[in-house]
Amino acid sequence: MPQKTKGATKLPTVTAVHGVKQAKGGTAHVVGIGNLRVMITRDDGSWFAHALEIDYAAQGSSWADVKRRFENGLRATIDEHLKIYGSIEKLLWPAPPEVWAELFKAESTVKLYAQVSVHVHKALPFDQIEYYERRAA
Amino acid sequence: MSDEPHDNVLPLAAGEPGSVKKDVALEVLVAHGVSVVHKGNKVILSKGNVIEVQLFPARLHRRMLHRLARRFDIPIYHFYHPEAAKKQQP
Repeated sequence: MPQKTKGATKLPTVTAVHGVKQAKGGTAHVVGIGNLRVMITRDDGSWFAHALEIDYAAQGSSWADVKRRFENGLRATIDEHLKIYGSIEKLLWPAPPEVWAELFKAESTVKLYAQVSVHVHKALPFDQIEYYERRAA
Repeated sequence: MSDEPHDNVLPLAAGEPGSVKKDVALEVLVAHGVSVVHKGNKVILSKGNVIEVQLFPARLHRRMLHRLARRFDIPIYHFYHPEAAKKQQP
């Protein structure tokens, strides 16, 4: 049975959910990510944000800038995964151990991140394709 | 002629690699078989099962370069010596 360590912080569990709804005009994906831990570090005058439970990172010129790039980039990455694989399964890989090890270094700050995004992928307009049968002369 | 092999390397403390221009980093990625697709201010990077979208600033710093090197299996020094990456192109 695991023992409680005095002073240890209980870390929240990260959640990732993906729902799919088939609609007349295409497919709607709803993706929710909760309690994603993102480590933010100063890197030679720039800011670097690296998620721990998902191996995604972004670089920016300020705290606000790196957050904006991280959020927009992750949302667009989810969208690409949905377009190509139809799921976010291949995105759900944690950062490597060396990134987790940095979690305990003083110069990094960890923030919890959550987002819910809706990705609507329109079906190709197949009704606009005209098919011709080539008949033998 | 500059002592620096590339003007994209910023002077930093000894032993610490610098930053490189975004375009140089993208060239190195392409040389290593990474598909680079520009979509507005975003760049879609893909190779094998790895797909990610980035909003890169003008210069990429050490941590981002190390991450790209690891993610796409590229020797880190190729970002600082892009001619080495180009030589190995098929």
